[in-house]
Amino acid sequence: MLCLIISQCGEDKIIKQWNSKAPLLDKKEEPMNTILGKHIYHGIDHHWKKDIFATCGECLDVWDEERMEPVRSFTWGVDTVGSVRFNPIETHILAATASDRSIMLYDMRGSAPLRKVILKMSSNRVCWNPMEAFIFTAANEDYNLYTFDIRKLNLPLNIHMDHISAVLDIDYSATGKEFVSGSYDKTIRIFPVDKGHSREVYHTKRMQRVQCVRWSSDNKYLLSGSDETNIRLWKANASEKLGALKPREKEAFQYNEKLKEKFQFHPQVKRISRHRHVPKLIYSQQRELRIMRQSEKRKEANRRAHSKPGSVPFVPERSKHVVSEEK
Amino acid sequence: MDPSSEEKNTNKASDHESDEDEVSDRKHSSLINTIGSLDGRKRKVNERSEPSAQVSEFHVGGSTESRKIKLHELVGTFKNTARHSALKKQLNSVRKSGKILSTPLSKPEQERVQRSIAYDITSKEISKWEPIVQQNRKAEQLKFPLNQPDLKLPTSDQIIQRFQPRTPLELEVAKLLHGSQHVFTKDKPLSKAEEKALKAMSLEEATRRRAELQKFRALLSYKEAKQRRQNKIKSKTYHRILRKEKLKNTKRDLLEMEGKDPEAFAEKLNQVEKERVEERISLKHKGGSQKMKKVMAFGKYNDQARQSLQDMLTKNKELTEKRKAESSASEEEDEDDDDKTMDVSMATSGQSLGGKQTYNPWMTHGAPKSADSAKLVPLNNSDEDLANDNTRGCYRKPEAVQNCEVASDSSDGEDREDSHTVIIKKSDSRQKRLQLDRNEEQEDSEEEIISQSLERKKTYEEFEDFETIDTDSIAKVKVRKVGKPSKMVEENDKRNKDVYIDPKKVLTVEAEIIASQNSQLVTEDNDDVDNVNDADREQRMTIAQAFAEDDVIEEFTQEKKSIREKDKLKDIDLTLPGWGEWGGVGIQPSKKKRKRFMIKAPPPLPRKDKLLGNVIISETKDNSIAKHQVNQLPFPFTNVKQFQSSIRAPIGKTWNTEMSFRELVKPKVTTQLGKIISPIDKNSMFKKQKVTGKAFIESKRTERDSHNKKKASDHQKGKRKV
Repeated sequence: MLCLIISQCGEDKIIKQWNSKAPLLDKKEEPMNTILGKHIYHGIDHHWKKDIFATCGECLDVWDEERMEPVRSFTWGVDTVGSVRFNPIETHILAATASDRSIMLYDMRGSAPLRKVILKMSSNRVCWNPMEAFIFTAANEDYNLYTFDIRKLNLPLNIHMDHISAVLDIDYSATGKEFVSGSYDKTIRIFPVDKGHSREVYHTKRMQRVQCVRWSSDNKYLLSGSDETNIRLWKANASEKLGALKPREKEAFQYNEKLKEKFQFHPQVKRISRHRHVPKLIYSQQRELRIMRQSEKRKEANRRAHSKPGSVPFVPERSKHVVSEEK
Repeated sequence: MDPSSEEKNTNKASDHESDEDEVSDRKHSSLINTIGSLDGRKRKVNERSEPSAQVSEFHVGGSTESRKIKLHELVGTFKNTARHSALKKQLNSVRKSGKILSTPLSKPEQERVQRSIAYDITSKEISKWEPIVQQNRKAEQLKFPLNQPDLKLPTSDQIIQRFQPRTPLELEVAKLLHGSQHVFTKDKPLSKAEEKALKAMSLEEATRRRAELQKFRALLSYKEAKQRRQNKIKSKTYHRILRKEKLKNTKRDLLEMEGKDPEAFAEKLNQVEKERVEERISLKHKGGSQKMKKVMAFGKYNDQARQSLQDMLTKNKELTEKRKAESSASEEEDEDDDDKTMDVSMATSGQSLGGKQTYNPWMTHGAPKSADSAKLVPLNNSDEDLANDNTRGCYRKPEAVQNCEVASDSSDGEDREDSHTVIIKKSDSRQKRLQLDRNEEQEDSEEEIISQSLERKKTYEEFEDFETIDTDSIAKVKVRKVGKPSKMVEENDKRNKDVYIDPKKVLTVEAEIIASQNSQLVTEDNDDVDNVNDADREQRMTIAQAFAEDDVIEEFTQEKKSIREKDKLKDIDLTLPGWGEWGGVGIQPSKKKRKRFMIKAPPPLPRKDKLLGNVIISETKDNSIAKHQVNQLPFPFTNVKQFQSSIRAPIGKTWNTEMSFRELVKPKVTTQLGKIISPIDKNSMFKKQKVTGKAFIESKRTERDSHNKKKASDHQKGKRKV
C-alpha cells in the first residue's frame, strides 16, 4: 500500500489510522482503521522505517499496523507513561516519559525494558538527536531541558535553562545541531545542543501556552501549536534571507556571518547580537529566577564558609537534578 | 517394614484404583487395613509426631536455621535399602562432581538481570556510532543532506568503455581503428606494425635505430627543460643581457649582409625606413592613445606602468631616429626649423654618437660636430629659451636647470664656470659619470657636464650603480630645492661659498619628496608627460612657498615641551589660609605651614618619547575606545596573544586570495531550502566498514589457511625426516 498512515490516539481509548491523502471532494474523510483499546492512551509514535507504531498509557504497547492487538507490551511499575518516541537511527530503541518522574528506555526487540532514570521532576517529552544515536533530550517540568547520553544516564550531558515555566515539547533540528522547545510560558526557544542557554526566543502577543513544536525536515522552519488553537510557522534562523540567493549575495552573507563570529566578544557587537525583546512578564520572571538562584548560591557559600571544611561539599549542577538511575 | 509386602500392597492398590476411580478415601483405607490384616502382622506406620532438628525424609530441619541442607542428610534413609542402589550411585556421582543447580531467582530480581543484560548489549551496540558522531562534531563543514547522490560526470575512459559504434561513420572509423596495424594498444608499448618492423629488422639495425631515437628524445627533453628554465628566470639583468645579445646578433647579421648581399641589405634598410615613416605618421608610440594618457596621469607610482611607458618611449625614439642613410641636407633643414628642441636633440644625438657607440650600426655620423654644437646651445640660451624649455618639458636634471638659471642670472662666463666647479666638487666622481650617462640617454643639452666627464660605462655593474645612485643624488638636490624654496635664488648665489643645510630642519620634508622621486625620473625623458609633472611641481612649490615662514620644527618642539609639562604630576597644596592663624585679604599663610601641607608630586617616570626627537607619544589612556575593547579573555583562548592574533588575521577578500577567502568564510553547516534531511542512515554509514571488515576477515582466513598449509607441510617434512 502506497499511502502514508497517520495514527491518532486520544483519551477515549481509541486508536484511529488515517490516510494522509486528501479524500475525494464529495466524500467525508473517515479513518482507515479504528482500534478499541483496553486503556487510555496518552501518546503515540510511529516507527521510522517499518509499519510499526507504539502507544503509551498504562503500559507501553508496540503495534503492527496490520493487527488489532499489540505485538508487545512493556510494563515497569504501575505508572502512567506520558509520551513515547522512537529512536530515528537505531530504530528499535524507544524512550518514554512516565508519571513517576522517570525517563525509560526500551528495546522493541526484547521483552524487558532497558533502564530508567528518575529526575527530581517529571519530564513531559523526550526527543532523540537524529544525527547522534545515543543522545536524547528531555523537556522537564522544572523549566529545564536535560540532554542525556543513554550510556551514562546517571548524569545529564547538559542542562539547558532559560524557560520560566514548564517545558511542554521539544524537537530536534534535522541537522542535530539545535533543538526547539515550547513552553508553558508562551515562548518558543531554540537551543544549540552543546550550549546551556538559548540562542533565540520567539513569542507573539496572541500565542498562548505552546503545546507542541516541530522542526521542518529541511532545517529552515519551525512549527508550533499552541493553546489558542493556532499552528504557527517560524523561520529557524530569524535573520536569514529566504529564497534563492545569487552567489555574490551568498558569499556576502557568509562573510558577514564570519565577521560576526570573529568579533563576537567585542562588547558592542555582543550587545547587539544578544539583544532580544521579550514580554515584560518573561523579563521580570527571568530576573526573579536569577535572583533566586543567586541567593541559593550565596546561602550555600555562606554555609560552606561557616562550617567545618568538607562538611558542605560542592555538588555540581548537573548531578543536582538526577535522583537515581534504576536498573 | 517388609519391602516385598509393601510392593504387593501398592500394586494391588494401583490395580484397584485403575478399576474404580471414584472410591471414597474411607473405603480405601478400610480396604488397606483388611489387606494388611490378611498378612497376620500389624502394619507399622511411620508418622511425624513432633518437630525435630534431625533431618529425615519427613523433616528438612528447622526452618529458623539458616544452615544449608546437605544431600547426604536427605539420602540418609537410603542407607539400609538395597533396592535404590542405582539411585544412590547416581547421587554419589553428583555429590562428587559438585554440579548442582542454584535456586531460581525471584521474579523481580530475574527481571532486573534481564534488563541490565539487555541494556549492556544495547549500549555496546550503540557505541559503534561513537567515531561517526565525534567526526561529525569536529567536522569543519557539514553539508546536509549527508548522503548526496554522486553527480560526477563520467570520465572519458568510462565513456570509451561503454561506447558502441552505431552510425555508419562511427562503424567505419571503428573498423579502421581496430583493423589497423598502427593503432596502439594500452598494454603494449609498440603497435603491431612496429613490432613487425622490429622483427623484420636485424638486431644491429634495430639497436642502432633505437639508440638514435633515444638520443633524439633526450635532446628534445634537454631543450625543453632548458627553455622552461629560461622562461622562468625573472632577473631583469638577465633579460637585458639577452636583449642586448639579440641586438648584437642582428647587428652582426646586418653587417654581414651588407658585405654579402647588398640587395637584401637595402631592402632591410627600406623596411626600417618605412617603419620610421609609419611611426612618424601615426605617432603610435608617442603616448597619444587613451591608455597611455591615463598611465601618464595616474600610473606614476606604479612601477609596471612606468616601465611600460618607458619602453614605449624608447621604442618611439628608436623608430623616429634618423639614420646615416639620411642626407646631411635633411639635417640642415631640421636645423633651419624654428623648433629649437629639434636642434638640441640632434646635437646631443650626434654628440652621444661621438661619445659612445650606439646600437644603430648605420649611425656613425656627426661625431666631430658634437663638441661645437653642444657648447653653442647653452650659451645662446636666453631666458626665453629657458622658459621654453621649462614649458615644453620637464624636469631635466635639476642641477642642470639650476645651473642654467645661474648662468642666466649672472651672465658672466667666469662666474658660471665657478658655480659649476662648485657643484662638481660636491658631487663625487661617480655622480659626474652618472650625470654624463643620463645626459647621453636623455639626449638633452647638458653639454657642460659632458665636457668634463669622459669616463665610460663598461660593465653592467656600472649601469646598475647609475640607477641606484641617480635617485639618491636627485633626492639630495630636490631636498635642497624644496627645503628652502624661498631662499633658492640666494642659495644659488651663495653656491660658491660653503652650502650648509640644517639636516634636522630638512628632515620633515624629505620623505614626501623622495616618494615622488621615481615618477620624475621616468618622465624626464618625455616632453608630453612633463606637462603633468610641471603642474605638480608648481603646486608643490607654491605650497612650500606658502609655508615658508612657518617654523614647523620649532613649533613641534614647543608642543612636545608643553605636553610634557602638562602630563607631569603637580604638587598638591592643602594649606587652608586662615587656619590656625590670622586670615584676611592680603595675608599669606606662613611658609612653614605651606611646606607642611604641601604634598609633593613623585618624580615623573621617564617618558617613552624622551629619546625620540620627532615623536610625541601620548601615555594617557583614551577612554572613548575602551567601550569597544574586549576586557576579558574569551573562553576558547588561553592567552592574550592568541586572541589578538586571531583578531588581527583578516578574513576579507581584500586581504586574502579568492580561494583562501572561500575557505575562511565557509559556514559550519549548510542546508538546502526544501531538501529533506533524513536521520543519519545506519546502512549507508556502515557500508564501507562492512566491506573493509569482510576484507579483513578474508585476509585473516587466507593467512590462517596459509599458516595451516605451512604447518601441514612442516609436519610432512618432519614425517619424512623420521
